[in-house]
Amino acid sequence: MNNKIRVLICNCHGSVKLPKLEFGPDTIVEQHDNLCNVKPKISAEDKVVIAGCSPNLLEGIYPEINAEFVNIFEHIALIGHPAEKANALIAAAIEKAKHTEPIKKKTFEIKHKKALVVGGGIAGIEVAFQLSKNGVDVTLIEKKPFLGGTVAKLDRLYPEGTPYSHTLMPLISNLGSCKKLERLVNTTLTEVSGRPGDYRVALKTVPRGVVECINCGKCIDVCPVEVDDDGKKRKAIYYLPTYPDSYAIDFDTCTKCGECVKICPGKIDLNEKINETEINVGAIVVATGLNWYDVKKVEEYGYGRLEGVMKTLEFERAVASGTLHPKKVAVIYCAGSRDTNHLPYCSKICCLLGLKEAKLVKDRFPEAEVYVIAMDMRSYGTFEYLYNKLRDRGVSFVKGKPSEILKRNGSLVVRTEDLYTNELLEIDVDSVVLSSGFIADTETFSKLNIKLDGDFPVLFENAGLGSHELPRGIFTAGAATFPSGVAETLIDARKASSSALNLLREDRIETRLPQAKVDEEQCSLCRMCIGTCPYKAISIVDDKIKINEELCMGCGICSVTCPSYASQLEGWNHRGLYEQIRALVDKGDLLAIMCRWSAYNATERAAQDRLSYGENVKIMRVPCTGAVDPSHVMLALNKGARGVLIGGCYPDACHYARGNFRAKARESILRMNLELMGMDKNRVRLEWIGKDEAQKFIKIVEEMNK
Amino acid sequence: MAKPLVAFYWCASCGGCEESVVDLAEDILKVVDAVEFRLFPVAMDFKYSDVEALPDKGLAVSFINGAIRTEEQKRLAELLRRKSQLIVAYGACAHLGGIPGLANVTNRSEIFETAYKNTPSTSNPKGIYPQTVTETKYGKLTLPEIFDTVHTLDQTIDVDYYLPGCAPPPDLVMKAIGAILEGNLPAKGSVLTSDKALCETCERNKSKPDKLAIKDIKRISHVIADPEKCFLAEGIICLGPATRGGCGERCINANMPCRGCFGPTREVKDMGARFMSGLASIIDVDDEAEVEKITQSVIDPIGLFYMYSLPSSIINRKQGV
Repeated sequence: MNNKIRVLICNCHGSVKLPKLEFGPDTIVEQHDNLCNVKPKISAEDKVVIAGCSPNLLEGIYPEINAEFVNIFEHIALIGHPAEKANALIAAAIEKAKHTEPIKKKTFEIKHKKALVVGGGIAGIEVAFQLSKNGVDVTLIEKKPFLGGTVAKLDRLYPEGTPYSHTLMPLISNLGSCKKLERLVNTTLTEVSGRPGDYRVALKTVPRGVVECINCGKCIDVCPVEVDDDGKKRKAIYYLPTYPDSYAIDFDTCTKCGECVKICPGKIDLNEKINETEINVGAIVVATGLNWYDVKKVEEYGYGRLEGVMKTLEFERAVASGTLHPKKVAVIYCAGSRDTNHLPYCSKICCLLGLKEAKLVKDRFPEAEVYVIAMDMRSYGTFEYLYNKLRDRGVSFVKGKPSEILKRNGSLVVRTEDLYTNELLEIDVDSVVLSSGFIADTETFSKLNIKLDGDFPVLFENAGLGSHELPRGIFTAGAATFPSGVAETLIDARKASSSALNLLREDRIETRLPQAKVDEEQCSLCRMCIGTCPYKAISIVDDKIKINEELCMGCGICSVTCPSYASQLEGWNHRGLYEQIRALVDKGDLLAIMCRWSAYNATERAAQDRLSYGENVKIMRVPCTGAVDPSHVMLALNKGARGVLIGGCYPDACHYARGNFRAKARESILRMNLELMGMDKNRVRLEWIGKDEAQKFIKIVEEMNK
Repeated sequence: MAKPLVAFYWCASCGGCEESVVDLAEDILKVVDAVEFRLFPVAMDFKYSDVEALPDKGLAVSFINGAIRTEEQKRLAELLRRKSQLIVAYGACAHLGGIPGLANVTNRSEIFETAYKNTPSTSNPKGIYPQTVTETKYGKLTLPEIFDTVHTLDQTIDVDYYLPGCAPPPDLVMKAIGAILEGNLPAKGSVLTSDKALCETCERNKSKPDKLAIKDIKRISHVIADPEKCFLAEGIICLGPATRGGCGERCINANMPCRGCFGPTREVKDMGARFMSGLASIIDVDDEAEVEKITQSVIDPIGLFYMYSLPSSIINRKQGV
């Protein structure tokens, strides 16, 4: 290792004319003419300053973590700025490098080549199968007594109306051939600790009651407890033709009368113990599916109060099992959806479920009248064909949102407007199907410390870079993160499986860099940083601020929030930036601190478009406007800068979700202070500059230079 | 063995730092037992010439309180530097500029105009202002020159240690004196108190929610603050997170938020800017106009964020005046 800073300067095949450059005894200057194609050897410990063309290009070729980039091509040569300016930019980058702690790469072991799959619905079953098929040890847990999840409750699947068994049965039989698979029903995850590759998971299995079973079914004859299971009657002891092939007791309704125990030729134990175990896994796949919104809360529709008003699932099961023969049916859409009093979002699949129920009626009872009452029909993609088909088959579509449902002369009356005809309607029906939305099953997410925003975990796939809000050992599959249909769920499950496989086949993985680091000696636990992290990566563990290195994305927002600089983004230490600005800014300069995701690109675009701007404009590249320290802006002004421009992404488009709002608030107070200190507040401007908005960038710097 | 010689001098200050010596109560006896004063204007009749007569480094330590805003203060600070082995900046004004430092939002002539002409109780029709030299028939009268800009002690002379606070609390004073007498001092330049911010020891920190997020900013004078709750969590500006601890939370215990007299923590150069950056970050609004509305509702931001530290900040005086 060499303590000197290597300064690699590229003249781009001689097109960049530079004066003789010397940066003092702490540096070694190396001249190159083609850094983008001929890469000199750089060791991991080397601190390097690379002066060449765009860092957006070079950082792909030089992923060395301790590299500083100076753009002497787009920011000097291409726009005809004097070559001496390169001196200032490079010298400033050297100052930053000198005063910045070097970052060290860290790796950790993927210790357990085993996965836990939470949720035994179609998503979980498919993930378990895929992983197991690829040689991964899998434990699949399901909180109910049988595998199958929501799909096992359905009669049929949209769009065709094929029975659920066509899909679910083959999936469940697949599991039979898996060698390294453990299936645990009635089991939930109670505690998780550890990190990707090395999780310790506590599981709790509650008894199914039936210990040995020959499937004779005598128990259901004697069981006195009748249960309405979403529109289908069953006993407190029951059977589902999925897995395991054994009856089970629903202890939520069982009265423990003991009749089944007496008649059972196998063994039933009503007082079986809860079993708690711990397992070690490398990856966890959450496939916990969804829950129906409690449609009782939409009081005007009378669910639970008016007989004949049903949820989609109940209606479907009742019709399919032959207990209901509707003649006139109203299917009401968005029952509690897209409604700020209930679920503010669209659950995406309920329009299709409503169409499925309409088709079910028409398939079984062609003469029945069906009204589908919807604000909008969101039969996305080719599901539109199902909608067209049902129109052709005589289903009436009413555009509106019913105001209430009431009982009159023994029948149900749906009051609604019809925006197609501008009429107020009262539709008499015998059955009302409420197509409600869905909420996530949040229990597992909270155990995994995945914080939820509203009803579903917010997974923002910012700029297509993946779900950054999950640690790399945790994957989601299917409707756990948002309602999805069966086909989408299975596709998602396969994606999750291959992502989990990618992790588990590694022996070690690197921590993400750069990361925010907290100096415990400086941290006072003031907690100002916690809420400012867009990724919820900061929390208090054992009375210390802890940054979850799996969640930290390196935006630097917390570092600029911390009133003690206890939190610092690696490679962007406040001292390094301070020294960089101190070396960079001369009297009369205009310092442009630009977000690497947007505004910085606009400055390069300007050069590519051969647009020029004042030679006094000096450009710095930062991870986010939210990482710009007001003290550093003040330093630039104090050094004699005419102005400081902070350029970033448009308000809702911040790469780090909310960094630019933090920047906005800081800039606002700073400008107010500057004005009170007798300065023109417009010497500091925060502007939203898109990646191609070279013209806007130039217009702003020209205004600031006036 | 001869007792070490000590000076306790005041510059632009209020007298509170002298009062803090009285606050040592009976401990003062231990101090006078251990040291011998050579300059202590508020309490003892030494002359500047007594100090001038000492050999260089003849004083073991000089405690200097107050900011530097006159030529006389500057001269004495320089003299004491020459004559002392150690210089301790005593109290917020010497450390950071303090309350007198807020004069940096204006300048000498504006201050003279206000103080000697415009105040309602002043009658000065001829517009006579203090002069550095006035000839009278009895001879020449002189006053020290007042500077346009108030400075911290370390902007004037080399300072070895800082005893923070307005005024420094007795326990820190005794600890510092003890450390000096025993030669048990930390690295030069240290602030002789906790290295962590006030929240570390503040009782109210326990009541703080994990996520600090505010939607409006309240003034302490407009609300009755809950004596248990974190001020910031309630939207009341408290500089605790940006201010060194060790003060004993005297203000907090009186249900007043921290105003920052202990100055920033080690890494921070500009206390006000650092706090402002943190405060802006916890404004929990994602709307540009709304953000602006909340930030603009801060009354007297300079007086609030830089109450004790304006001369030590990066932009430390009003520009263009």
